[in-house]
Amino acid sequence: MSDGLEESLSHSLRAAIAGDQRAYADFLERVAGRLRGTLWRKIGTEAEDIVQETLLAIHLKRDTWDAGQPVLPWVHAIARYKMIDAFRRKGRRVELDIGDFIETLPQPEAETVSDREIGRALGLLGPGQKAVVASISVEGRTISETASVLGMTETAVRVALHRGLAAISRHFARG
Amino acid sequence: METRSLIKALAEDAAPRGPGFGARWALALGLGIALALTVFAALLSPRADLGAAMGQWRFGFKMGMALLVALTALPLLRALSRPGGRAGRALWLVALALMAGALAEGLTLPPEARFPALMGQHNWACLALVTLIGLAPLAVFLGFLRRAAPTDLPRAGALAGLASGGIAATLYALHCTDDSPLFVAVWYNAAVLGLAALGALLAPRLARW
Repeated sequence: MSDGLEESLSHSLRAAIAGDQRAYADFLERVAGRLRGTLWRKIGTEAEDIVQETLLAIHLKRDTWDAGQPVLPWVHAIARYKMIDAFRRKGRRVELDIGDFIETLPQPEAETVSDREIGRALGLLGPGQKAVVASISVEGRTISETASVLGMTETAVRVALHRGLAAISRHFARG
Repeated sequence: METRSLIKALAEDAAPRGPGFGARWALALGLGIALALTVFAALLSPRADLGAAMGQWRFGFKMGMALLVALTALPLLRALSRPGGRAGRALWLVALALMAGALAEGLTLPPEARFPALMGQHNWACLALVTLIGLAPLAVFLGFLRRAAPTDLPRAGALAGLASGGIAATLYALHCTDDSPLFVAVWYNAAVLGLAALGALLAPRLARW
């Protein structure tokens, strides 16, 4: 892996942690592309589920990144943990070496839209959180657009979004 | 849900919230020690001859070992609570120091005095009370691990147990009048290792994320 990539990814994540949404989306897109490349080779069609669970975990646990340390080993450790955990839930075993992440070309998301596990987990949320998360993710609205469409305050939308994402993640950890 | 939709939602949730990793660690550390201290103060008191005991090498060894376990395990617990964190070899140093102390005592005591020194006066009380004092910080540290992101759960749980045991042993050592390193190597360690086993067992159930 090139130092330039490490450098620019950790730069993006530092900006993201300070609240820069665009830097954050850019960071997550690039991480997703890299993970997808590795995981497709390893586990095929289930790769996208692991990519999504990993992104969600990165999001909820982003304060566990030590900004003085490289970000890629941290990302890879989370992906490895999430993949092993997902297979354990299905009663299967899988191994992933850190070396598997090296020398992988980024891969774009496949066009075929299937109902990912994360979509099913979304269905398990309460109606309020589900409406907010779906409005922002699937329908692509911003927080303030969602607030006016659903007749909520922006603060309430923010809280529902954060709790909804955390609940989806907990659903996986329990499953 | 497509991945790009998920990323949209995550980016909208980018605003920082709540205390960060460092603050949560400091909180867990403070709360764990405070709770252990509360249990100790509720059940026990420092030994009456604490001042005189301080001059004895055996007492110093006992306190030193207990502190060493706590001070070694705590930074390792913090390191292992992050994805990809590693434990390193520091724990072997603790085990080595402990064995050296027990060996020194075993060699200096006459053979017939060794077994009584090992059994001490209050061995079962030591085992039970160190465990009891250690349960409170163990619960706090497992809660901390749940909010953090350990990727090796049994090992992180074992370190939570070792750290709790080290804190509990340090406090109990102030009360306990059994000072032989042989006693410490057996009874203190049984309690500390019991807490470590409990942590290793509980963390995969309680701290998954």
